[in-house]
Amino acid sequence: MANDKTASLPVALVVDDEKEVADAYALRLRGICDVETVYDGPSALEVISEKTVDLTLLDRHMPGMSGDEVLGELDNHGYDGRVVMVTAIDPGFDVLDMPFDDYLCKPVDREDIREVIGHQSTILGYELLGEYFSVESKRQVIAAEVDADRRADHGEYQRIATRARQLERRARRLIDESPELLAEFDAVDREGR
Amino acid sequence: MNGQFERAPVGIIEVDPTGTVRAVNERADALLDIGSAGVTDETVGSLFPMSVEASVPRAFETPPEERLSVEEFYPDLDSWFEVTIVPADDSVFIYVRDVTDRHRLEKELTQREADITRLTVINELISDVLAALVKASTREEIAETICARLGETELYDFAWLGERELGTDEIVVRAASGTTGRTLDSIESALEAGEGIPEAGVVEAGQPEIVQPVGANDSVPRSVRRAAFADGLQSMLAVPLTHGSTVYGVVGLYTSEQDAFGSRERAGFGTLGEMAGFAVNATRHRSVLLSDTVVELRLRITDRSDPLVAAAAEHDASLSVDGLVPAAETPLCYLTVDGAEPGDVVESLAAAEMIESTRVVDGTGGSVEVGLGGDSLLGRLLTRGGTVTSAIFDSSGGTVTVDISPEEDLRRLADGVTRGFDAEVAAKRERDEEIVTPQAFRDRLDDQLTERQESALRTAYLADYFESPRESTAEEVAEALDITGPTLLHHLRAGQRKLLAEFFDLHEDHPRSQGQ
Repeated sequence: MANDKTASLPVALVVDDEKEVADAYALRLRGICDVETVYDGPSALEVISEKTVDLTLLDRHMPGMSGDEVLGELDNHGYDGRVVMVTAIDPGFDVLDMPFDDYLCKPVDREDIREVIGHQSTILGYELLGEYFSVESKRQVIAAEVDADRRADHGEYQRIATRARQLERRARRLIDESPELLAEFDAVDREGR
Repeated sequence: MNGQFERAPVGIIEVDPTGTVRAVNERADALLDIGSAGVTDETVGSLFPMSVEASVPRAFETPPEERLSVEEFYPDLDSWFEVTIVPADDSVFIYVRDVTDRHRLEKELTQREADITRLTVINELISDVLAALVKASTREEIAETICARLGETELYDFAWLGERELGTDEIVVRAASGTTGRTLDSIESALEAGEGIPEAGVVEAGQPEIVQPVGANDSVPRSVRRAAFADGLQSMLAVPLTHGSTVYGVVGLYTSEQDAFGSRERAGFGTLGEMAGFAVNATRHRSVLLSDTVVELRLRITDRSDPLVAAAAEHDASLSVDGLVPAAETPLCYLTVDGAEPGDVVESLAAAEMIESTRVVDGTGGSVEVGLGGDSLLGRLLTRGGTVTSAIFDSSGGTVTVDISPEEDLRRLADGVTRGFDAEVAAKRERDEEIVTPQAFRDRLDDQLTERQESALRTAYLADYFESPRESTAEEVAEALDITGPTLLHHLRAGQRKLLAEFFDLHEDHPRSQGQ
């Protein structure tokens, strides 16, 4: 389904055992995310291990593997994106010490879902951008020390360079301001010091 | 599209092989909410509502060659359609049927089946716990059995069992099982801080209570709600462990299921709570019989509203309790009066409240019999499961020592006394109860009975003198022993007295166990 138009959007995964609900969320996110939709926990974990997902919209109460169980497994699958739980009730708590990043209460309306997903995209985008700046600085330091023709054999350099490219790509798809921020970062002349 | 197609009861869209719309019939127009004007020449992809699978637009990515049938959900129309794409000559026909009702019915059916399965599983679980309760022989085992069986099923996340701490109103966690998470920690903190939780209310009220959703219920402290929400717990059922009007504890059952508990669960688990209460009550009796440790309480009372305290003070006498007969409706108390005339003491007691009857048993020995009312100090101790081992009243008040099994409701006993009287628990200790084997009992009795007493008892017993009616008269037994009738009766009575004193465990220095 993904085409060139959606390739630059954040990748969202919608998980809900009720197909009608999951599909409705997926359509509501069209245009702001590249959406994957699955209807049970194990399928969600399968998607997570196959591709880089930025945001997961997770139904808490699913038969078999519940949203909380999926949440517990995400770490084991190397997931570093954000998780928005969809719950049946709204107790009105802040999420400071909750195991997820935010929550939405059913029924979820179109504006809320887009707003929450947009908000989480921005948070993740800045997180990844921060990490990119730190990794990219290291890469540049090594680049200054290692000759260009020897870099291909330099394991550490290759690892850092790959990571920097991934981070940059994700930050770009997550936050609109990333080009400007990246340009400012690049404008600093580190090697000259 | 001809007239037949136009009014067909199924939605029909005619497109060319590239997906450009040629015609849409009435039914398709209505089903897909197209608003038919000017749709021809549009692509089927822009005309068809969106679905996650987007099967229809994808079928036209290249001209379809084979018949294709799919069932999809269209969120914007909140409908399920069965869509069949049939290529024919130079046209492709798309047939659309609304199958939403069938999907909703299937869903409802699945839900019903799940409900039935769930109820069956709950019933099995309950009978499972009941069967396990029969085998539990101590209060701890009962608590652990219940928690383990309820907390480790797929149905529930965790179960905990709380009981009142001895001598206080505080509830403490006795057992827990399952994924207790942050919620049980916060329950314990709330209990320590004295915050009301639904389980505590259930101990007071003695009725099961359902709390759902846990995260948004004001009867739950905010800290517990917060933890429950973080742990994903939605529903809670609190079940009291009751026997008659006594509440022995409470089971809190938590689950991430939404609306997990209804009237059926409430009734089923309510019965479980009653059975568990019954089992706890049974172990209390069993533990009195089998336990080799007892808790000994020493109570001091100066409150003259108790008739024995009042009588001792009034006559400046010492009243010591020799024994109590708790089984009767009015417990009988045998006292030795020292330092006053038994007749005078009896006279005062007869006039007092909480005294049902009085009688001088032995004027010179100072022995009196008193029928105690249930509200008197000793009456209260007896009705609350205590065994009075000694009680002495004099002009300064009374000192009563009472034994109680460690599993007995110590708080209920102490409260029963201190609420009725100005009295206090002066000391509490646990001690090992001496277990008397039948052999030791015989040996001890043997030491005390004289040879003649023993042969008199043995002969009388074997000659069926103790049967009713007697098979042998006293004279016949006496003759067999070559002694006179009165001598036989003297030996028999002395022997019986020692036998009974030993059996009722009266101390050897006790006036009643002395004599030949």
